[in-house]
Amino acid sequence: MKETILQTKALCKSYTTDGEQNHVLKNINLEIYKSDFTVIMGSSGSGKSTLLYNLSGMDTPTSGEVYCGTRRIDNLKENQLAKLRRTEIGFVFQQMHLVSNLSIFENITMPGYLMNKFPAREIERKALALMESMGIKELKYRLPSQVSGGQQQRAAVARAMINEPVLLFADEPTGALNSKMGREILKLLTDLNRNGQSILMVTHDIKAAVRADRIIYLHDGQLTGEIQLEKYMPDTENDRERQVLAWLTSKGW
Amino acid sequence: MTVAILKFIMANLKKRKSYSIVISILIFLTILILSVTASTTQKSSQAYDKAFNNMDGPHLVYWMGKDDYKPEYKNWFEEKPEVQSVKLCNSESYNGAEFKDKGITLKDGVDCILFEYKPSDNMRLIDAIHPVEKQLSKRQIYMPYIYETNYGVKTGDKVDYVFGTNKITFEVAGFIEDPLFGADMNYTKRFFLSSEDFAGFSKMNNFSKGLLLSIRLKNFSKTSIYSLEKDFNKQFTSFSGSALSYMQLKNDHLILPDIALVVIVAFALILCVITITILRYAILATIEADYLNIGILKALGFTPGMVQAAIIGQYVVLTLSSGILGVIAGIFITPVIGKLILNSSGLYFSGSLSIIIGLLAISVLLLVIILFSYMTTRRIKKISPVRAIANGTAPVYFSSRLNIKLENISFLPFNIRMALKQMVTKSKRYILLMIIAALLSYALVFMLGLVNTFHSEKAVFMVGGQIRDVEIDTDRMADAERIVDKIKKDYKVDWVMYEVDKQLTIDDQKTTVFISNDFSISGELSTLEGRHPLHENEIAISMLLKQKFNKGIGQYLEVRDSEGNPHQYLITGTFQTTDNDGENARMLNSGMKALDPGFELNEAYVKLKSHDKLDSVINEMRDRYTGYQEISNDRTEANDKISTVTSVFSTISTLVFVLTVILIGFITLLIMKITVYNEVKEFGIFKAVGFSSSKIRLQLAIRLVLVSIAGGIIGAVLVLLTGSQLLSEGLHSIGIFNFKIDFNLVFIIIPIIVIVLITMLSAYLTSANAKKVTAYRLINE
Ligand SMILES: Nc1ncnc2c1ncn2[C@@H]1O[C@H](COP(=O)(O)OP(=O)(O)OP(=O)(O)O)[C@@H](O)[C@H]1O
Ligand SMILES: [Mg+2]
Repeated sequence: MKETILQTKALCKSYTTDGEQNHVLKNINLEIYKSDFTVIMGSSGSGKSTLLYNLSGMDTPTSGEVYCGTRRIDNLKENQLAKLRRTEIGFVFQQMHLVSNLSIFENITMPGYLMNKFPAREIERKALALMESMGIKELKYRLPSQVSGGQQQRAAVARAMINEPVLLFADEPTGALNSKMGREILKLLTDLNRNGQSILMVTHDIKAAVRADRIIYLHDGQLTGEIQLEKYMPDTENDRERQVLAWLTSKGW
Repeated sequence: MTVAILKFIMANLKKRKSYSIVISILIFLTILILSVTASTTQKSSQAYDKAFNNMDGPHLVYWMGKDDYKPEYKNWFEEKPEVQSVKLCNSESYNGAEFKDKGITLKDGVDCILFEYKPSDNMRLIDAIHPVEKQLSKRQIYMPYIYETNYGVKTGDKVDYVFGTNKITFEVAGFIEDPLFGADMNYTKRFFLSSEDFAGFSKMNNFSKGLLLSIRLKNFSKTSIYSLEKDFNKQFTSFSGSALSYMQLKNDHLILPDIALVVIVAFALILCVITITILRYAILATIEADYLNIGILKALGFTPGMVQAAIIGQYVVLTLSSGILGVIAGIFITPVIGKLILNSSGLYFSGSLSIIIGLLAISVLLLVIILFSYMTTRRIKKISPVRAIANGTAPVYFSSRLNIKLENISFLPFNIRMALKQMVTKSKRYILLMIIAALLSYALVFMLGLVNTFHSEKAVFMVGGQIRDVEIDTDRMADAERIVDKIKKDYKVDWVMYEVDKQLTIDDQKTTVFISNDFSISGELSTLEGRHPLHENEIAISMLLKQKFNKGIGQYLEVRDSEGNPHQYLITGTFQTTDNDGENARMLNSGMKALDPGFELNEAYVKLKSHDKLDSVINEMRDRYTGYQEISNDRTEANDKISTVTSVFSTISTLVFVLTVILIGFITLLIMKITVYNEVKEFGIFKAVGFSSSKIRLQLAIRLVLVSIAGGIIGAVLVLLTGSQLLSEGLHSIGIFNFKIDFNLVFIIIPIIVIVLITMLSAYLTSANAKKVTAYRLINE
């Protein structure tokens, strides 16, 4: 039996635009397991990003409950949410969102200093180790605008990993990258997962989706299906792709 | 295209509503202060001339004892072709007489001179009981306007005229605007009585009879007045009265208002600089924030010129609308400020803001703003549509030399480290705030330093005076010495100085000369250059006399004796003083005796070791030596003189203080708005990695507080270094060349604390936005 690290009960999210209620997430019941590489797929506008934000404490649901482990997080106060984001959660955005006036190294160490759990030396050592494993060690003092998109995204992943999050969220991390750079990021995430990191990723890309242990399908704000896969092996990639595509087609992708 | 640009302008103003409001308020305040002070300056000069011309004011006034008058004087002037009219007025005065209201002396140490009121003199009456007839009945009096504005006397009040042991009660029938002696600084005051009352005083022989000889010129200029005065002195070398020119009279009345106005105008100019700097910065921020939009507009075919026009257009709309509001508000405020400023002058302020000045102020500011926004928006040309659309933000530029690495300053708390980092990498924004904080702290510390200086008795030294306790005015030196000996016997005396002032003709100019046995005895009179006279043929002169005679140390001045014969005196030193409009000289007793062998030093000043029992000393001496000598309290007199200046400076510094608080508040508000606007995305990222809102706000506040502390300290240090010098430069015209502002540590720290507190408060309040928004929404803004 796998350990549940994230769970929702009847999660709903709606926006009011121009007086009209727009129900984006409708009654989501979902469990995310430890050490899994979970992928969420669905058509554009189906509510994937919204779901991710509500699971990660970036936003609060309209109704329903969200648990991180056994701890309920949907009703946390602003400051507790901030603490949750810096201690339990890592988030990688499609548009990287590095702080433009901080160097790559400072971007990565910043959440570490913020958490204030380890001494500065320790954080800096860990940041360097992460950068080394991601091949961006030489870019330490560059500004985000002075490195490529793929390198920025790797820095963003390192930043998300610095506090050893319980769960790493990624919203289309390859979306803004060309396919070569995208593959590098995917390899990075797969390696992290191999080492036990739980990951929840949203993607449109089948090549990204095949890396998952489990794929969840979201349609019009509702969960309409999921599929379990074997652990990813590079040589099985083509087979997996066919299998996933067939499943997705059946879901109306 | 015009429609498109107008739409863009309006949309931008709406989008940045709060930001536009703050800029509007800055422009509003600038125009308001500028047009009000400029109008008040213009109107106060006009107020003097109005009062002066209303009564056909004299361009030259001679005042003398009735016995010293000779009819030749009047005839001589009447024969001069440039003279329009010559008038003679009788006056009565009693040495040491005072006006009291319910037993309290109104304005200590004033020479109260009584005149007969003649409606034909055409002096302006204020709040008069019978404004139409203007005639005074028995026991009615017209007092100088200053008694209403500064000493709380009301029309209809009963005041006592106390002379010697007698007392006569008058009803105040109104106030006169006196352009000759009306200012609070003037220690001669004219009081006007009915013909009946005046005749009564004329009959008393213990009153001194004086004559005021007034000469009005047809066309006057500074030089024509001076040359007439010179000719008169040459003609009548033995004349011993005192002379005052139109320039001196006007200066006496407007000197304090003018100083006040100069300070406020200086502040308004600082405000102008601040507004323009802020605007420049705001425009830069607009371009940064609108980077993507500008890129898109350019991609759609807008020329850089059109985009530029749209941005400049925003500021033109703001300047015009809030500038006009500023002028309208000024119309209401000018009379209030004008009254306040003219309070010490005894002049009646009428009129309001000059619309022309208001429009001029708006046009100038508009022009400057258009120029600046044109220059700052030129960089729009450089924005490439591709880059803007691809990146969405302006490229980050900052000097890598200035950069600090977070990991290198890990000894500091994390929040301060982040604040420092943001400050350094966005230094442009913060340098601006620092300069503004420095300017404002300069203004505040300067003003408070002045208030502090004048708060202390020592300010008397600064204006060339001494702190003295008892003044003994007798007919013969022996009498003075007798009284001094008695005081010395009964009390502990610090020092005694004998001093008399006399009008002498020096280089053909009537000049006040102070004659003493020893100028160094108190240790409080100092020279700026050289030394005081030590020998009988020596003289020291004030800096303004030095300029007037164009003679310095080592050169000789020609002083005439009572027969009109010239004597040469060597200039040994110069000093600063505000007495006699800054023009007087100092000479030894022996030097004076050479001119007039019968001269006696018949006035003495005594400084006691402790002045706790000053009043009883004076009363005791008065009782003992009653009748033929005047013994008075010199200390309160001096303090009273200083309090006039203090109250003026207190008023201005209060004004400056309030304005600074408002300004620093609004500017911080604006900077916060711009910061929040430009850093929303960053806040989102910070939130996403786990910063709490309060941490972000705290950090923002720390940034601004650090900057304002730095600015405040810089401003304070600059004042300490330059304030006294700057003020001295500005005070040359009243005779002060070396004014040392007495800065008090508390008065340096308070402004800095005020600036920092206001900054902190407005920073914390405005950053409240950062709290409401969720992390992802901030990023996607
Ligand atoms: N702040 C908001 N206010 C109103 N509606 C919103 C807001 N954010 C998202 N929506 C709406 O919610 C729906 C889901 O948006 P979401 O971004 O979650 O979709 P998505 O599945 O991530 O799409 P994509 O694949 O294009 O990224 C959309 O219809 C969107 O218009
Ligand atoms: Mg999305």
